[in-house]
Amino acid sequence: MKKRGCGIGSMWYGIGNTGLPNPSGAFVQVLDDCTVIIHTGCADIGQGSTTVLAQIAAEELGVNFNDISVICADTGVTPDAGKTSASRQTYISGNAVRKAAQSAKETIFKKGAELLQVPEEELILKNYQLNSLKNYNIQISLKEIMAKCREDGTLVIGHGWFNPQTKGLDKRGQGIPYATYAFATQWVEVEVDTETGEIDILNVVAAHDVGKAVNPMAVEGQIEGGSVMGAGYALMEEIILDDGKIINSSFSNYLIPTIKDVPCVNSIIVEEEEVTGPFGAKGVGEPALIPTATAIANAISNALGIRFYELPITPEKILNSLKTANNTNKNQRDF
Amino acid sequence: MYWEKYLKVKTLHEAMEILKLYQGKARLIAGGTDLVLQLREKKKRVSVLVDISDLPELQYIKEEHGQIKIGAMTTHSQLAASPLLWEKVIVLAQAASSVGSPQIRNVGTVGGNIVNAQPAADTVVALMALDAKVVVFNNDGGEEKIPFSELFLGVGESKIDPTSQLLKEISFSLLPEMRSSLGRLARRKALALPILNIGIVLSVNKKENRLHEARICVAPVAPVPMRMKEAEKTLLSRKLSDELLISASKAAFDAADPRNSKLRGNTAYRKELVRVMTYRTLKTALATRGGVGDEAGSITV
Repeated sequence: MKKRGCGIGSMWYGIGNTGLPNPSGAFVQVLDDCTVIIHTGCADIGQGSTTVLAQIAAEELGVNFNDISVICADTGVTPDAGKTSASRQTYISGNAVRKAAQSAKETIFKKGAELLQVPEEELILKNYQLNSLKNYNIQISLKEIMAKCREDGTLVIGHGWFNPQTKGLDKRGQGIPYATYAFATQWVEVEVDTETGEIDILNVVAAHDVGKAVNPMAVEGQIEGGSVMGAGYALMEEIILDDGKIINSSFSNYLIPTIKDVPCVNSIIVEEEEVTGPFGAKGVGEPALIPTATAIANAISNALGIRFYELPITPEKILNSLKTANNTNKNQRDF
Repeated sequence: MYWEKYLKVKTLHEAMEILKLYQGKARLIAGGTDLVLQLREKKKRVSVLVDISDLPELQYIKEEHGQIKIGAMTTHSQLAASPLLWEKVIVLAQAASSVGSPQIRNVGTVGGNIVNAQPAADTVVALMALDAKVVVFNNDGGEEKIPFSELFLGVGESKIDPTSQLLKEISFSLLPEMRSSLGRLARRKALALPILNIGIVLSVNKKENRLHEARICVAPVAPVPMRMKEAEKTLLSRKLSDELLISASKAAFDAADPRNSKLRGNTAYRKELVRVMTYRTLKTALATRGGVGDEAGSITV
């Protein structure tokens, strides 16, 4: 027989290193042709930080994404941005890059204000154009400003630095461990085969508060990837020892989900602005993984009426638990 | 390197001559999906590899006088894409589709799957249920036929010695009103070794609502794929009914003797799966069509 059940898992997760300084730095340079080079130590390990940092700089400087080059994670030339860990790069390096862009922008504004004869405060930089907010006819192109800067021998460069406000934990574990938190709830529907113990994940709905989705498609990618990893954690991943030796040390027997095991993941992006984040953004990398196993275990429990306290929940464990539950029921009936 | 020489041959004759010349130091390589790993892990040692993957005369799937004949170098992908097999021998098409991943199916061959003799090799389970035979060339120029029931000696050990023999062809007879199906359980849906593989081939007599012939092969429940003779006898003993399928599954349960395995599960669990999967695969097999002379639709139990 096949039984279905639903379960929910919720989580909060602190962004960045716990109660420790974990700063990030960045350099930004605007070139004569209005293209931009970012230097950052932020390592893109596939999560898409290079894309997101370029987007942040493009937004700040009013230029196209395609005009941004990112030089990253090269200790020879890039400033330290800390580890790609703790779901911290969009939040922390994003802020560093934004601040570096803002500092480069100051030079542009200064030069623009001089040329347009208006105060810097009333200028806005968008679409390669500097405009006065008070009178839109007062304008100058970024290209002209860059040409003037070249004439004067002014480099349009900036550096930025961000370190989240935390306070180390005292002896009682009290302090301010993180500057911001991510929140998420996932809902999972499973189908359990009560004769073979096989578990099929039918649907995942994953709602994640990311502050601001700088790149919604990348956020969905993170949520889908995290949920799949969480499904593997719940149902498959296990180091098996025999006489102290790992006997499944290869990916042919240390199993993680394949494309055929992946359920339909419906992502819901929640944007509750984080005031200290770049354009309101915070992190989503690890949070996507955290509630999935909980939700799956709850869904299985909902389907079978049996709780599991050990991962992974394998078909064999399911059958054994069903057998034990049946025997207990029978005994209870006897009395 | 794990070998000294790698020779790619253009003719069957050439391959046999090389094996003779090197007297046990040369070994045939087909797709290499198992062999290369075994060489790398030093489970097997070899000086010369003789690659026979360019021999078109070893790649075919054909029907001749009620027999299906398959060249040993036919890849799993070719088997899985054969309309002939999907129409008449579903169990083998399913087995070939279950092997590894597309990359492995594209290079791995049915001959390699047989010679390598793993206890639950997908195509072997199907071919056992099909009561297949193999044609083997010896390097003295002779040729012999070996039935599958005699082919396997132990885990990773078959009667065919790839340092002196070449597996040429696999053949089996189509049965009247043949039904077949593969039941497979693994820890995930692709690219995983089976916890259990069941190949079932039946020949039905619709008029009398009973079976002419029943063959069930289960693996891995012993060092080599195993035919469930008692369960087969049970199936032939009476008219078809749900109770009959249940007793046959019980007989398979009784005969299966899998060992406790930390990777595949403990004995009790695996025996229980034999019972459940035998019953389910019998049901699916009865609902299929195939073989020769099958006109009317599926049979209901």
